[in-house]
Amino acid sequence: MLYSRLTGALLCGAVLLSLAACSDPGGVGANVGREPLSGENPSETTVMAVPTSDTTEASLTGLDGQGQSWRFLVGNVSDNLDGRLTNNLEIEADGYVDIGGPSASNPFSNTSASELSASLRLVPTYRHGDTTATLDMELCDLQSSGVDMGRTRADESFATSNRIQSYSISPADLSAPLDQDTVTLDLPQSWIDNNASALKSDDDNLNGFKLAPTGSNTVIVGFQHGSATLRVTTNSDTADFGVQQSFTHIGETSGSTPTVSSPNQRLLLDGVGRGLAFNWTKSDKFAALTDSVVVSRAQIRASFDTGIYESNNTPSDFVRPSASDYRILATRRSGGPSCSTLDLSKLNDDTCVFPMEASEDPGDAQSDRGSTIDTFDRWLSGERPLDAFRLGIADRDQIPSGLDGTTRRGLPSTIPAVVKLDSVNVALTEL
Amino acid sequence: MASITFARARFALGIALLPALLLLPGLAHAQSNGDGSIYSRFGLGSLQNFSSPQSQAVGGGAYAVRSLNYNPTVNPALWSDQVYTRLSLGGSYETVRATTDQGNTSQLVAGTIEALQFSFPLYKRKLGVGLSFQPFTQHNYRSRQGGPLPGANGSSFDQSFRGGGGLYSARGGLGYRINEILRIGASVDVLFGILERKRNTTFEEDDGPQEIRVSDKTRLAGVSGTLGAHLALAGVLTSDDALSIGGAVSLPTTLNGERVLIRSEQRGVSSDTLSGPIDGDVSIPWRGRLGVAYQPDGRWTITVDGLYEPWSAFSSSFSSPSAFGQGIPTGGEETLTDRWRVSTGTELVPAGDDQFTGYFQRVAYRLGAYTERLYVQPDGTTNLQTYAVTGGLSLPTALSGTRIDLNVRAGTRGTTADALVRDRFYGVSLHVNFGEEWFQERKLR
Repeated sequence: MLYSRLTGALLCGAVLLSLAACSDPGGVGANVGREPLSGENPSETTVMAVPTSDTTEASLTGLDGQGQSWRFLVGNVSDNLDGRLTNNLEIEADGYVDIGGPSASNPFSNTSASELSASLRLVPTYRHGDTTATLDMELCDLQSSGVDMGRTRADESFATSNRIQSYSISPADLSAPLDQDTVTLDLPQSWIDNNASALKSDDDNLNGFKLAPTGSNTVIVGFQHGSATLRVTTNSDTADFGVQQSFTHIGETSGSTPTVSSPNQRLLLDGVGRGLAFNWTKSDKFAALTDSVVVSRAQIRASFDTGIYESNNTPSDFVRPSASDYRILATRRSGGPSCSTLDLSKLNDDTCVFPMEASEDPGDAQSDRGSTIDTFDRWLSGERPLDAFRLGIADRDQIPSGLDGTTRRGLPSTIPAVVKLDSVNVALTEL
Repeated sequence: MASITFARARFALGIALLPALLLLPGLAHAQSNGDGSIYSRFGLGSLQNFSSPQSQAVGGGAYAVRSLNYNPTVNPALWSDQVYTRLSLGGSYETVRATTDQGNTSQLVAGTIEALQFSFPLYKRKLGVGLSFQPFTQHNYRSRQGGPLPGANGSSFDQSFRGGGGLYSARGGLGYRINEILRIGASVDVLFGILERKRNTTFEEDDGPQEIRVSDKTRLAGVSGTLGAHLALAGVLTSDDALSIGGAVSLPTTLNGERVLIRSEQRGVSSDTLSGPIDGDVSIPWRGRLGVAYQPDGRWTITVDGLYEPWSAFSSSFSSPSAFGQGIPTGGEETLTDRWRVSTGTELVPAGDDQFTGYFQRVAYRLGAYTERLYVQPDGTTNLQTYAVTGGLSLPTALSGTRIDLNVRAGTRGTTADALVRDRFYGVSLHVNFGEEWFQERKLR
């Protein structure tokens, strides 16, 4: 009896000690004393990035396979960004499409070539330039069908064998809202005769086309990759040959490279691949923080001059697409941690991509905080994981639903952006 | 008969050690499961005052009270008169309600190990050994704050601050009865422990680390000693009375250790040693205790006790905050002042020495009160005072040397003036004291 009482008493004691804390601390006591707890507030420090010399890095503008929203561009445009540039930006875009086999069994195997008609049907989804201008272009045969457009950068091109025909696409054909028009480029009978066997076959025997601007165009038009079709018809049947690959060559034709008049701004240009290279290795402020602060959050930020997308100085007939998103690439330090270790996406063995805060606001680029902290945490601890940073444009047809989506390359475009150099920084939340 | 007694003893020891063994691993990191006063953030934590369940119930003193039923740790001279081998284990549950001058309140609760004590006589009523393990300081504050993040549009943060750990005292010594009047004792006191300041920061958005945990740990250890004496006079005012005077002095010492600031691994950030480890030391001042106990007869005991510690002479090589943000002690050495404590209490055992009366006649009823000036001045100027009343029951069991003690206390600590807070605390303690004549052959009478 005695021992059961003692055991009970001990168990009561144990229960007292094991009581889960039912505390409701509130904020009482945080301000007590000479060194109050409230003195340990987190604070935010921004450290300006130091721009470094940049070489253009042409975008990957090709796609091999399906991609409904992907596009290829054709045309020329001259743009001075409402007078912000020292001289006009002259851009030229050539589109390439690789035509595959028919989507269904070819009904023309026994049809005479003279009975066939063929046309390239294109849906415009992008415009940069004068919306009242005619798009003059020509169609050429590609020399070979064995090209790899999917891994090709915008500064490359593919050889053509012969010019097929010239076309003038009236602005009326492009006047409907994007995605609503279909432009039809009829192919001449001579081309049909030359390619009759391929047009009557179930196999992929067509080389594809180059769509090149002619004359002095003032507009660049983008056509949808997924809906582009070579349609072959007779009086009774139709066969559609889909686009298997597409690619856009984008180049600057300006005599001298235009720059922004304001010294505190820098021109970015998609497609051509003008970006902003920057770093913190030469920042005295950043160096002073190394090994002296602890950061709990970090975010790379940049602001842009959105006036170029809304300025009243822009002619009403001139369309300048705005950047829907941006990308920040970083070069790994030799022997440094992998991209995944840093919570970044891997572009290739040498380059990581920062996930971004998804937004359609062309005015700001902000890296994802959760994915940025590890890089700067290591850096401020004395381990520099990355060597160089690069900010570029990534045009998207919709806001990415996840972080991975923000690291992917954008659609081919000729979008310009003007970044404010004094806004490129990393915001560090210190503990 | 003797074998049965030994079997019971082993059983009792097993029962007693089971929860102790369960709890001890936790003691390595946190002696307190829960939260306590914000004032434990200052100095080296809240100084603990436990000596014995009897002492606790009469105001925390009783430095001069001899008892066969307890093993009071603060005065080793009291270990001389032992008859039983004794094991005592106790814990408490305390609620602290803190209030500011603006009426803001917080409610904090904690369960705490108060002591594990073991003692036995080497020579019955002549030379005894005492061992104890108990908290020396408690470092269990808790508070939180939040607000907009400076410089970040729309971002907000929430921070939780918690103190953890504290210092422990492991004490071992001897008490010796020189004659019927004078007893002396000495102990070696090993002080050690970890003072941990934990800060968890969370952010409103979910795109950053969910939580940043930073822990500032200071590990300290050192050795001190305590010398005690006890004077027992009988027949002072009446033929049945007794007057006792007891005192003890704990020697000053230096605790050496190291301090390190660590960030725990969380999503997006790796574990990292942010600062340190740096070596340093802190000084512990001497502590003097003096008490008087008067027993007009076998039923009543009246105590008056005092304690003094010159903490104003405290020094710490950790006081420079450097990368840690805050030094040890928090606010600097100027935030410490001399501590004193005065307590009084009384005990009534209606049965006196008669072990054959009714149960409730053999229960000890105790009442006490104390006031204490804290050794910390968080703002460097305002003295903090504690006022409390104590009480308790000591319940006898069928084993003559074994009792169960239930104590309560209530009081206030601090002030709401000068941006400080006032604590109102309520506590209950439960102690089990086993005492049997282990290791001693019973003689047939």
